[in-house]
Amino acid sequence: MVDDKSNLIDKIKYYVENPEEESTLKCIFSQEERDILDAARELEQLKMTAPEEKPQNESEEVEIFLAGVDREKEANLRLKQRFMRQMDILLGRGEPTAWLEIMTWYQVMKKKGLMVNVYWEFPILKNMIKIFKEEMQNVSNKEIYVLAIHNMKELTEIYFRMVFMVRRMAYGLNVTDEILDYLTGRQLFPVFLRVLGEDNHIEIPDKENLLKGLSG
Amino acid sequence: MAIDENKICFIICVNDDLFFRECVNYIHWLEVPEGIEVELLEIRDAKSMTSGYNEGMRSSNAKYKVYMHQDVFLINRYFIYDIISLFRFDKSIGMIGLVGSRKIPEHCMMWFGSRVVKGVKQVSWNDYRYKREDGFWVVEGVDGLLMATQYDVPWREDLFDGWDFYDLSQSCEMRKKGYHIIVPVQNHIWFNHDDKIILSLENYNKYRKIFMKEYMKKEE
Repeated sequence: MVDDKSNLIDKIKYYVENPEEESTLKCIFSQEERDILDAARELEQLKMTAPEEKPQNESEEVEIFLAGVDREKEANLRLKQRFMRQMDILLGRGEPTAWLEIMTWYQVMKKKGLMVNVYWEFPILKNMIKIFKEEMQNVSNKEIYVLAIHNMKELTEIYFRMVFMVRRMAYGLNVTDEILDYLTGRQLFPVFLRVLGEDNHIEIPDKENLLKGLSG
Repeated sequence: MAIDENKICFIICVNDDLFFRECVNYIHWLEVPEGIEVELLEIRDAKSMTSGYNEGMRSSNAKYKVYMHQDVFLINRYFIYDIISLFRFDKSIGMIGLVGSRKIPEHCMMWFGSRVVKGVKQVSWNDYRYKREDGFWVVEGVDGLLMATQYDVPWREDLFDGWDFYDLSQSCEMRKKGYHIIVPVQNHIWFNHDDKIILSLENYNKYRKIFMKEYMKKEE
């Protein structure tokens, strides 16, 4: 039996199996969660009804791709806005259970093929989820530092601040002591370095050796 | 105002202070040739990239202007030396970019076609120094992440009033005036670009069609 106290995965499973049970769904999901699921369903339906076209050449491939972008852009934006609102709510809670829900929502979107390859926030969210998982696994941590992040704006900012710091170190640019202390004095830093090392999108010269040197 | 042949101006449309401050860190780090003055113009609340860049262009008397994105970090410390050297070497060069297309593809989606930036030699960052002998590609269009000019040509804010296709449009406007556009062969890349990996394409097709009609003589 699924109710509002059930975990998110079970609730979403119930939703997928019983999409027509409006009154039950109203009880088990918050308004924000329902908004996400409704927007996701709208976008999925748009994708399902898209005309099937096989491009004969590169130009046609581009036309088909861009026609798809145009057709789906409002629905995509709507889903993104609702998703980000929910992320802000969950991040604001500052609890490990909230992060587990964040992971669940990310996985749902990824599995449905929605948004994660469309908006820039998602690769960063993915990396911060990895950081959360690493911190959870490290039992010697007294604190899980990602819990101090309150919303998506902070999440993306802290991510880029750390990338910028590491890159400046690599290029020998001035790194102020205050920021260095902030980063290296926290147990988040070695975890971050590990995750950063795996991210091929982040360009840093001689990344492997630099990260080894910083972690050591 | 009289053009100052010994001045370079970086013109940046800004809406993210975190990125902009980092971008400026790298600009301040650049080696400056003796006798060259460096100016920095930040344009805020621009209605479009073209209107922002026109505002910057009109506000500076620098001969050399670098229009760049706030999320581009110049890691070639001799960037100013190198582009001024190229501009002075060949006055027919109107614009220098860091990524370009030798031929604008028929569909006008630059990153769907082949682009030029990296040379074939692999040089480590510590050992790298561009020389004119490394060469450059003559291209039809450059990516808007960085566009350096030695001549002022108005940006087409009448047509491109958003955030797409201002780069290809300006490339075409330069070529219409008879100037060449080049991309230096970078045996080590000159920049890092945290372009947030995934581009927003919300209005892309609208401006692509405008571009095609204006420059490719093709109506949709």
